[in-house]
Amino acid sequence: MCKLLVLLILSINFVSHANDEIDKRRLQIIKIIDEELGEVSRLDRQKNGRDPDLLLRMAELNLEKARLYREKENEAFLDIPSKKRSKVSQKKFFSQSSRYFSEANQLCVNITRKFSKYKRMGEVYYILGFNAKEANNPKKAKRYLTLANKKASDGFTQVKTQISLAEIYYNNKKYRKAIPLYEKALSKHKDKWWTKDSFNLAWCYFRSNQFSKAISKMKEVFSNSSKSKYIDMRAQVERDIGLFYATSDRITEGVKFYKKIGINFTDQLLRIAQSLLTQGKFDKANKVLNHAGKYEKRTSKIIEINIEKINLYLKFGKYALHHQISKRLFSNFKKNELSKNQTKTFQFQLEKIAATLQRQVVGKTYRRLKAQRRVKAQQAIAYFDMLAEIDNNRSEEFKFLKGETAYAANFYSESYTYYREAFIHGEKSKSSKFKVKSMDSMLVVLSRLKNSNDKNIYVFEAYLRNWPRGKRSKDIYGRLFNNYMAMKDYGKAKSVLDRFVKVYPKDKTQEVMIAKLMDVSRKKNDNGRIRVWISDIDKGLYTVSGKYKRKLQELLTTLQIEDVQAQLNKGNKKIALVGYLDILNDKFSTKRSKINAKYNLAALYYELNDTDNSYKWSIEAMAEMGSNDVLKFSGSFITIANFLFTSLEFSKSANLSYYFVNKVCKLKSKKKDTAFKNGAFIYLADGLVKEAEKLASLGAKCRIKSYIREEVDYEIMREYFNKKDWNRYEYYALKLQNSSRYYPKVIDDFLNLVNIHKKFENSDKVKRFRQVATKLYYKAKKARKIVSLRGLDYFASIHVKEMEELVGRKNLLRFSSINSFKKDYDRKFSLLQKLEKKAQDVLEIGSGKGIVNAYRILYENYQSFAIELETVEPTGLKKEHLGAFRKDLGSPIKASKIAAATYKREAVKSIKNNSILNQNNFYFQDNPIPTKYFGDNDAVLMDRGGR
Amino acid sequence: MKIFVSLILFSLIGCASQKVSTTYKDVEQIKQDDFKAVKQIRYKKSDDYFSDVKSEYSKALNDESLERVYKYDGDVEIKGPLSTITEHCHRKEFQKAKELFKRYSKSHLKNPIYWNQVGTCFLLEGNRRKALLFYNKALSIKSNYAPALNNLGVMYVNEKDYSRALVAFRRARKSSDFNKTPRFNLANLYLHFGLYDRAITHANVLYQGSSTDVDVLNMLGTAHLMSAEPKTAIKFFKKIDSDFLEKAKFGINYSLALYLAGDKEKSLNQFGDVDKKMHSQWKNYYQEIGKYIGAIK
Repeated sequence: MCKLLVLLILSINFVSHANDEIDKRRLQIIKIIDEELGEVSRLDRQKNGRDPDLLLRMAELNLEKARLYREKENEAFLDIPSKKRSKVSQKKFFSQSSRYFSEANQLCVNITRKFSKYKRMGEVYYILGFNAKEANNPKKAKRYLTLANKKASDGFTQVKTQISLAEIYYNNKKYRKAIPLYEKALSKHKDKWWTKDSFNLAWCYFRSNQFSKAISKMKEVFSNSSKSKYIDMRAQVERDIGLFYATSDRITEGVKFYKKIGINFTDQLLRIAQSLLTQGKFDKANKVLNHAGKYEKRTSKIIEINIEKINLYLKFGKYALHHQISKRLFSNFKKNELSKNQTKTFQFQLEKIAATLQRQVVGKTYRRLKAQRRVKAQQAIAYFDMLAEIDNNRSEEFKFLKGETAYAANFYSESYTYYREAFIHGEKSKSSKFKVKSMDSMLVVLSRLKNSNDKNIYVFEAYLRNWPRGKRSKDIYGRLFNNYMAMKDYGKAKSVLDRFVKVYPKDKTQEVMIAKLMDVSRKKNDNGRIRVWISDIDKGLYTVSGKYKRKLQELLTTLQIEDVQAQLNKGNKKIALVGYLDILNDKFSTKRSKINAKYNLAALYYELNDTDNSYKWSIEAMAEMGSNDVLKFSGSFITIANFLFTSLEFSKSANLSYYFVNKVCKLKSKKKDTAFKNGAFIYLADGLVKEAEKLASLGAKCRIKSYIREEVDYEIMREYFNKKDWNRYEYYALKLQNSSRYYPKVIDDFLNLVNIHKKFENSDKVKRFRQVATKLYYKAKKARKIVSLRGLDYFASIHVKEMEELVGRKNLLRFSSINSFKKDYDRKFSLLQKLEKKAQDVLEIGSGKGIVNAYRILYENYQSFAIELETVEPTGLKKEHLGAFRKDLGSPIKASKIAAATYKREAVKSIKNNSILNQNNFYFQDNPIPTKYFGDNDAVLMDRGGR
Repeated sequence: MKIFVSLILFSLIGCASQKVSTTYKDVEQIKQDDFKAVKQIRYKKSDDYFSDVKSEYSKALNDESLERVYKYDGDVEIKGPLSTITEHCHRKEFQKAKELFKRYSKSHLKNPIYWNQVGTCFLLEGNRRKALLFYNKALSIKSNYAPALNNLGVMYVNEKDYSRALVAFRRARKSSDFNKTPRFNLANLYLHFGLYDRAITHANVLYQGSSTDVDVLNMLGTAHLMSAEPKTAIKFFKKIDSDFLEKAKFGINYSLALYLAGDKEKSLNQFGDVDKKMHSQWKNYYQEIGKYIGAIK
């Protein structure tokens, strides 16, 4: 190292020293030129500018001076750092040299203008051409040099002109035009520049596809370069000859040449290859490189070759070859055989081609060319794979890109694997750029994979591990849950649910998960597990909707009931009975289960003919049931109520009906009416009037049909009558007087009340209720409603009483004197006629009792009237007139007797025809004394229907 | 005739156990067989009459009614629960009857004979509302079931609602061509109100079937007496066992018949044999007739 440093320092000193030497020499030459120029200028002034030779010499000296300055300026210019150099004004920088060029040029122009036939005009034009060339004006240069070539009088100028012109052609790539100029010039003149110009000629040959000449000339240049006489062009020859050999397919010769001259041919070949590459000669460049590789044994060189190769393959789109070589280079990389720069280049290559391939995979071009696209995708993936190892910092990115490429090529399974690699990498990294993308991509690719529960689970778990509260977490929890469910891994599914609940404690999605898990337990008949679920929900460990909660309750109910129901369906009623009792004793039992159990117990005990228990459970079931359920099972409850009734459990039966009505109070149902009526009647039958009233009080509230309510009220009223509770009796009678159905019936009751109040001397009420009864009677009569016989008897009795009053009046009338006999007779007869008329009113009422009594009064009074007439002896009637008096009365007496007999017959006829059940019937018997029979205690109960 | 209650009835399933079971211990005693449906004993005409009754004095109604059989000390061979229940009811052994009801109700749900008997038991016990409910239950099974209709008539008679009683007896009678009890009750009712012609019609039918039935004979005798046929009346009265003639119901009118037929001595003797312990309603009549025939001054 120390040696190297010393050498380096020495080298720098040497260079610096060399530069100083040049400057000195240049200044000495310029000094000499200036001296000569001063002399020549003086002479020119003396000759007053008429000597073109002096002018030409001045031009030559200026030109030489300009060259020297330009040389110096060039060196100085190149010494300026590149950044500053671009900012430097070249015009100013090169002003000194430019001034001398311009001076030389002006002198030459003057010559051409003043001395057109000047013999050394060729030299003048040469200077002009040279200046134009230096001024970077090739057109002008070419024109002047062409003229110079024509006018050149001496060989040297001609050679210089040809060379300069050839250079212009060469620079303008007009090699064929340059070739004869070079050939002529170089054949005549061999100065130190011969090697350089010949080198150009060789290139002209090469460019004109005259490869043999080119190689030959190059070899000649190489050979002469070793001579001190010539500029040494060996380095350039070494550089370019390989290209010539390669281009002319004579690489082997080239290699031999290089070997012969003892230089590293690989480097040369590489450079050649690069050159060929720039020319777009892929095959040749490839061949060169192949040859280089063929003979090269050193790994480092092989690597260089291969790097060049991949560069070549990339440029020409030879991806397969590129891939093949890349693999080799990658192998070198793994062995740590690549330099930093090589690695950089290799990576660049890989990235570029991978990107290109990926673009092609993704793009439209290869969409239909599936096979090709597949190959490209595989290649791209391989490149990304290599890149992932080469650039560890971007490994995650390349792994992700592998996934992207695979996905684009529809390699879904592979893409999943690559995304996963990227994701794993990202998870380990602190500053991952692709973790999120990899995850998103995995989520996308999952949808393309079939039967991928494992993959799904991996991805979802990974997602939740990294983003337990991410934007998509909610959905992912659900999907993960479903995958575990699909895998039948219920334990893990449950754990997902629990994690979900921690993050989203109020989200209702958990309800769906729970439902699915419960469904599993349900299918397994794991009722214990379901109970735990429901218990947990009750404890608030999970949040579900009220509706779902109710459904769960129903489910538990169903579970609890199901087994028992199954036994019931099999006819194992004893087992079912025990089962229902178990439900009632089970602390986990739901309210509905218990209700159901109670209901079924009621039914089972009913089947057992157990009144107490069927009643007890019916009541308990109804107490807890909703109205609709009670109505739904109304058939059973009414059946049990009837069963209790037929089992003589009257109060229980009625209570059950009461409960039922109360429970279904607000619902529409005929059964409600039935239960209402049955309950009330059974309460009454059992002597429980208050309870019947309590039930009746529900009537209006529960919208029981009015005629049923009135019927119950009527019976309650009758019960109060039997119990002699006159206040309540009166209350109901008054209540029913407005009933359209019952007002004719309560006439009897108002008549009862009249009698009752009479006993208590409540005259106001007697009067009032009599009026009510009368009013109701006439109302019923008008409406042709049926009035009870007792009622009819009563209203008939009023008329009968009036008849009896008439009878009383009649009986008070006495036949006094013969003078007033006629008047007395008429009065009595008039009262008899009034009786008949009144009797007609009685008959119209239709009371059997009234009819018999009316006929009796008529019969008795006509009979008595006849007897009275037969026996009457008015005062003042002389005895001698008594016979005539009797004779005169014969006719009315007979008529009265006939009337009496007629009324008797009518009475008997009415009694028979109408089966009038009246104790006065006996009055019309023909016996001397009425024969009576008291059979009202002798009615016989009938036990059987008979034969 | 008014149907009081119309209960909705359901086919009930039979029973075997009577235990009140609320605990597991109690439940243990329940057997699966206890749930077996009880066979329904439906109505059969052959069950609807008494065949083994020996009672001459009540003979007219022996196959239909046991009331007078027990009253007149007749013999009945009791067969089956229905007859046992009937016996308990008429003997006023209501508790025993109710025990049997509880046991047999489910097997007789569709049997009007049974429910008529339940009604009768309650009627005899004095609970007319319960009686009414069960008579109506019998009628809901077999409308116009004569015994239930007849018994409703009896209930109305007891309540002195004769018009309704008349309707009930008439319906009962019309429901079967050959039943006798409604005829008997109709005759009795008609006679109570002096409608002797109608009474004779029904009593004659009963008499043709049984000439030894003391009540039928008494009704015929009384009816003919009302019809001013004392001699015909005497024929029927004479067929009545003398022991019965000591009762006011039989003896007073027989005494009157003898008197009206001109046999004053026998009349007085007969009147003298009448037991003075009698129902209040007969007492006035006893006085009237006694005075009329000269037995009472």
